[in-house]
Amino acid sequence: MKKINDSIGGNSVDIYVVLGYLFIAFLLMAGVLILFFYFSRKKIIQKEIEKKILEINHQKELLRSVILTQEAERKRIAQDLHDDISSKLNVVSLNTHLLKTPNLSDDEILEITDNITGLTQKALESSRRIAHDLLPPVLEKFGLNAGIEELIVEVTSSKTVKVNYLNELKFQFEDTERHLHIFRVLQELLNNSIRHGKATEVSIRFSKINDIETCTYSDNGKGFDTSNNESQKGLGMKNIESRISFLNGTFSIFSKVNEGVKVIFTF
Amino acid sequence: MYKIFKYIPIILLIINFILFLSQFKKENRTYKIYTVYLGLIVLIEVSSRVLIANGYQNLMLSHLYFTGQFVMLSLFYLQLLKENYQKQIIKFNLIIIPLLLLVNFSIFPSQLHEFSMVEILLTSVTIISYSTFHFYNMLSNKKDFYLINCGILIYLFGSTVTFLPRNLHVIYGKSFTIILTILNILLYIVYLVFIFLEWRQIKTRSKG
Repeated sequence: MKKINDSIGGNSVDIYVVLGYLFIAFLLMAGVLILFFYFSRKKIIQKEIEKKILEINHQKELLRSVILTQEAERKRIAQDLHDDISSKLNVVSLNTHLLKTPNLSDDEILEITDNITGLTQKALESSRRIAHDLLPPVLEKFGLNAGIEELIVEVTSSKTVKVNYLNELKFQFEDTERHLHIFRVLQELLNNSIRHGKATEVSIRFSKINDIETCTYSDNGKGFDTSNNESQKGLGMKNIESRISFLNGTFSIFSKVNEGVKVIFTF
Repeated sequence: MYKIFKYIPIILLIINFILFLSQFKKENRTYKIYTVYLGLIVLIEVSSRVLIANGYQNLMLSHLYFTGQFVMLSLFYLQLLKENYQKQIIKFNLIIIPLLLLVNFSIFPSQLHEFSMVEILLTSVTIISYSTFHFYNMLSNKKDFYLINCGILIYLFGSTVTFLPRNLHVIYGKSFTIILTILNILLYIVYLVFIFLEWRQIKTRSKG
């Protein structure tokens, strides 16, 4: 920007010195550029590694919750088997031993056999119920829609909660594995709404939003503070999250204290 | 034509300075330092024109220009950069480079009456490296003063090359100086446009 005045006097100007300076200037700038590139690359790679580590930790967390859920389920099944079936079969076994007792009257025999039939009937029913709880046969035989309808009938039978169910999608019958995940998610959500949320009204809706199959679930229960990590870290929520990640879907929760819960997930 | 052309940057510079002043109270310290820098450059430009109009030599002002620009932009980056080691480097340079220049001028006082290549090289390359520091920081942080930083990098890169051979006019004559001046003015206009765009961005951001 400076204007040069013609009156510089006496200073000899050597072109080689000027060229030397220019050369040094370019060299220094190139150096700055190379250093910039070198450190930037390092920084970017560092960031990427951090991101990957976060991802891996998240996956580990999901995996952990899957294992924990599996263990909890095993415990429940073991308890069911022990309480409902083993105890009854024990009594049956005792009763059959009683039958071996000599000199029993006809009435006694009749009573014992009645006992045995009654107990085996009950044990049978229990085993059917346990199997049903593990995997509802309707789901496999008649598809997701029927499965959900049956689930709703079961849930509403207690009369404490009303469920509005609306389905605009046609579920493909071959997708049983994916449907099982969706079914479990809904099961977990309903369970949460009733047990923790004390909801009296629930709405489930399947529809296509922007050509993506979406489920919108909402209840009028107690809700929770979504900014509070405690409520989101529960095993149930983790379980839902991992199931939806298996479905390659997205999952979002909207909730406020005393304003119910709204969950939207795609699959 | 050339005479009118030479007045474009100073007009743009004054407009930019006034625009920056208009937001002076609302903005942070980095912005304020930059406004003071613009003010200093306006002052040097105007006094240089006045000196020339009265038939004096204005080359002494070039030292004020380069060193002043170096000090103000160093302070600007000292505010802008957040990493501690970068601040340490700036503080160190802020002391050592003026000292070096002082030593240089006391050994070669004749350099006071021409463009000092040592001065141009030291001050420009230092500021260029600060500007790349800021680019480096912006890789992961928000883009504060992004456009001004771009402008500084482009202008200093180019102007260093156009200022260094200035003293050769003794050999190549006036037309040589004119070519370099035109190139420099073009670069300076680019820089001023960047400054204006930055100001506009800051203004819309502070409104929103």
